[in-house]
Amino acid sequence: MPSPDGGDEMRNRPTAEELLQIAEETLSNKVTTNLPQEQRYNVAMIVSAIGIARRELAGGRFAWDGELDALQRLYATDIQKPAESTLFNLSSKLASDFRAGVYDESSENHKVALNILIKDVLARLNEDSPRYLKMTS
Amino acid sequence: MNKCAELSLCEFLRGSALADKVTVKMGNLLNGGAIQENRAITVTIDGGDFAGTKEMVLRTEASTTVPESRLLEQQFALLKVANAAGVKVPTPYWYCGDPSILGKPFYLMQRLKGEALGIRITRAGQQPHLAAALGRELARIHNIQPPQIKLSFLGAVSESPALDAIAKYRVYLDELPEPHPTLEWTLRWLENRAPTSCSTVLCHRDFRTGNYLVHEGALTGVLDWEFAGWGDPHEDIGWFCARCWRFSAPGLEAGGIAGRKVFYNSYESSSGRKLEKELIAYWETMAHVRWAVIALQQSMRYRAGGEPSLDLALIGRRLAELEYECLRLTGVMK
Repeated sequence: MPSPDGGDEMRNRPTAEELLQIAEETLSNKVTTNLPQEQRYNVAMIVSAIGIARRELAGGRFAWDGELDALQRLYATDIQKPAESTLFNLSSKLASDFRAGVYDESSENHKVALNILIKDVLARLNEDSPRYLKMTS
Repeated sequence: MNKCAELSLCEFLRGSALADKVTVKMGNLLNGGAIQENRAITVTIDGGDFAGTKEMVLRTEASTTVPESRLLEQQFALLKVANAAGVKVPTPYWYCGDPSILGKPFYLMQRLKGEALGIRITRAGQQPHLAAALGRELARIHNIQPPQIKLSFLGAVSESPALDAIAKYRVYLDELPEPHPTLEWTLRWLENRAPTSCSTVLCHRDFRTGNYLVHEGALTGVLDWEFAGWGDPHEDIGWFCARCWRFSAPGLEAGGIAGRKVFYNSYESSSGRKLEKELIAYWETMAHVRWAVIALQQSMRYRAGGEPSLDLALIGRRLAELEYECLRLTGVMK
């Protein structure tokens, strides 16, 4: 049955993401202010955990959707296995190649490999701590 | 703590203080100490040299730890050596390794006044006097140099603390279930630039905002000696200044409380040692890798089911911040 707003969602509204958002806001704006000092730290952690979970849910399967493609291009592979295991294997290879010094010298692959790191870290940072970049810049 | 354990503790304290009678009143768990558990305790002692009511901290070992963490008995020994060297630390009272008292080792130390939470300390803005005091205190810690009979458990002095650290962090990374390419890149970068050490001192190895107490704007004590060991003095400087320990004041590069200059100047004039900027930058990069590895280990304590702590669970999601700094400091990202 189509949802009232025209989508094909079978689940009830508010969605999981919406519920997490309002829970996060309620804790942050209404609960924290009435708490004794020693409990505020715990609530701040709960708010943080809910925020991360909410952004991860909204983001989908991977923090950076292009990571698998980028690694497959770097290693010229096109393995038709489940994405998670392929991503794990290629990411492990990238890590061990860095350790072995494969990307010590400046080259096209060196640039590509470092670019993968940048995109991966920024994508995860946006999920885990979006305020961090704002504070840094 | 149940009544039986409390009575055992009182009996242990009575014997240690050579007192007639000891009573205790257990207080709250104290913030901080992600590995060890610190609990406020009020101890009333009748008779003997320690007679009176004292505010203390009861520190016990957590059920799981990280590999870098020293045994509680060693932490107590470090605290005693630091105290004897005139470093501002809580007075260490008594250590007990007998598990029949509380079920695990513990020690008692003075409860100093002050705030330790980094987020609150850095909200106060520029605190140059505090930064200068910390520079002097770190110089005092670095005055403790090998050999030290009471610190023989620290092992031999390394010829290259940097290469030792890199090897150790790689072993830790190999024990984790997921690959970490950004940390591997950074460790390789550090390996290719590893300095030979200039001098060897007692490094606190967790000297940073969040691990000292501030009362009415003044430093009252340096806490958490569980990672201390012989090393390059620049390691502690880099750790103190690392972005990850500036909390809400990233622009104040000395621990989120002041600019670097006041901290460096105070350290240099107190220690008589000239700091090398390149070495500080090197160890600051290492600091982010080290904290990332420890954060991953802390997170595993939660993931492996040993410690149901939201604090530990969230530490694992700090990784991206630390990796971001690694990429910035190694010049990959502006």
